[in-house]
Amino acid sequence: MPSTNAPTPETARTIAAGAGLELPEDRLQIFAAALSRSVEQTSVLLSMDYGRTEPAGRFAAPPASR
Amino acid sequence: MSGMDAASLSLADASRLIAKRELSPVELTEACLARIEAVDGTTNAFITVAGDEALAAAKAAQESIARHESIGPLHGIPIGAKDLFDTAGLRTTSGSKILADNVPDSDSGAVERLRTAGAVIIGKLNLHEFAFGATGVNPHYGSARNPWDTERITGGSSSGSGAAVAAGECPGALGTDTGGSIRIPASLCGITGLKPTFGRVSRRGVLPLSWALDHVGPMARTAEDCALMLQALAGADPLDASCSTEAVPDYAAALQGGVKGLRIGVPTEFFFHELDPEVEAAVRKAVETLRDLGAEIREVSLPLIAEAPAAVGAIMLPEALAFHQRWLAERPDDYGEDVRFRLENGATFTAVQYVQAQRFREMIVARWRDEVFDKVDLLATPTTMRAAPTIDEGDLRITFALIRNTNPLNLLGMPAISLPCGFVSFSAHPEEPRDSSEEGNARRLEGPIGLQLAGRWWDEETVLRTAHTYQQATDWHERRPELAAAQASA
Repeated sequence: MPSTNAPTPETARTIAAGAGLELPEDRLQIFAAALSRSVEQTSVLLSMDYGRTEPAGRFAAPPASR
Repeated sequence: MSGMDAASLSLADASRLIAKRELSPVELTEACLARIEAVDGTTNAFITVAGDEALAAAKAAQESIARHESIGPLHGIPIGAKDLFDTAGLRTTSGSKILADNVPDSDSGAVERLRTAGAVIIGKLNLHEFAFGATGVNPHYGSARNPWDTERITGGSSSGSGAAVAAGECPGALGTDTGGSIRIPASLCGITGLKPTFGRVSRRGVLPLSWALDHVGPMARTAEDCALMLQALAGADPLDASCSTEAVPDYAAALQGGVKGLRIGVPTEFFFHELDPEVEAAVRKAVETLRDLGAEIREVSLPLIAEAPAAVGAIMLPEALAFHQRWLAERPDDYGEDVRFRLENGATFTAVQYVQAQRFREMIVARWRDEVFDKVDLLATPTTMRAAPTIDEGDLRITFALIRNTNPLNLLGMPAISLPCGFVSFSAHPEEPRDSSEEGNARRLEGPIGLQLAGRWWDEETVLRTAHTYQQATDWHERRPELAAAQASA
């Protein structure tokens, strides 16, 4: 079910189109609800202090061996 | 020895018999093909059985060995490959409708290395569509079924790999693991599965799910078997820049030495929360067994663990969508409903969320390196929160219970193994009505529980040694489902 905070269908359509997806009406509602959940679930990532930490490189090599 | 007995052997035991000329690669391959013929209609582990090719390869191996040209412990051993690995001339579907007719020109790096080590590729194993799911429920090829109770899932995404090894259809299999896809089916099917360090094994020729999280690794009956497979698989691949040049040790030699003095950490948060009580009891008992074997058990706190799942999602879903975007735009109805839903969810993340998740990944790796692995050598946790659900419990409802304890370790990139450490009684679960029919009573109402051991980056040796030491002291890994046992005695 769409969340009460879900974006409008037009907003959801625009965001989906930005990722190359053209969603039919029924899937658009599901997508809009997922958008809200995604914002909520990743808010923790947006509120952290990363300092000067750089993003993992393309292959994100783990630390050197023991 | 009889053909059907040969299919019950562990990879290492079969290898020792071949080395002593007490078992031939052709006998072993024929035994596995006979087992496939007998049980795969029930397990649905294979999408494609390459019987003729496997027998030809086994014959070639046999002739080499007869000429005293043995090339190592995998020589003449049948291995199944998850149908996500390219195999030259052999259909590779990725468990999808979209690639149903895909026949690669060349082998994936992992298959190439197994063949070079003398292994016999016996066929291509079922999986969750495009490896994008943890149950193994597949709308295109049917679900692989758990040999311990065929009304239950195997776990995924390497579902066929788990079922085939557990049912004795092949002694070893290749799996991939982006959020737990080796360890989850290993846990639910009662076998041993290793996700090596990120970059340890080539991913060339493996259809990607998430470039930042995908790992390739072995699935077999024991830690020793996994060590033998990893020896062949590990090491630099000049054609895969994501594959590390880190030195590859002797994994079989590393199995010896025991766990005396090893510091094993038991997490104080996250991994033990809201578990099935039987799962928790079995895993805590396994930890006590390791203590009895000489390990030092310490409680350990894991920084940033609560935030890790959000970062996994913000990386995995957009990367998966990026790979599938064109197919999803052009052929959306050719995807199964659950995979299509997950892929569309990939568009709900912004570029900023994705980049912050990658920065988070750097932070958590550094914190665990400095604050966890300065105190302990290894972590011990349950692999999954519960044992195998029934196939009709649905996908989305149960996925969380399967992936919660595995997917943070994909973000961290450290080696992690799942090995059997007990059994749960399915009938004890209040949410599952007891099937008291004659048929229900006839079914074996118990299933395996997995212990997950995770170690320092590149230190597969300690992970494998600890698992091997535990398996030398226990017999959970030697138990066979009735399905396989019945066929073995047939």
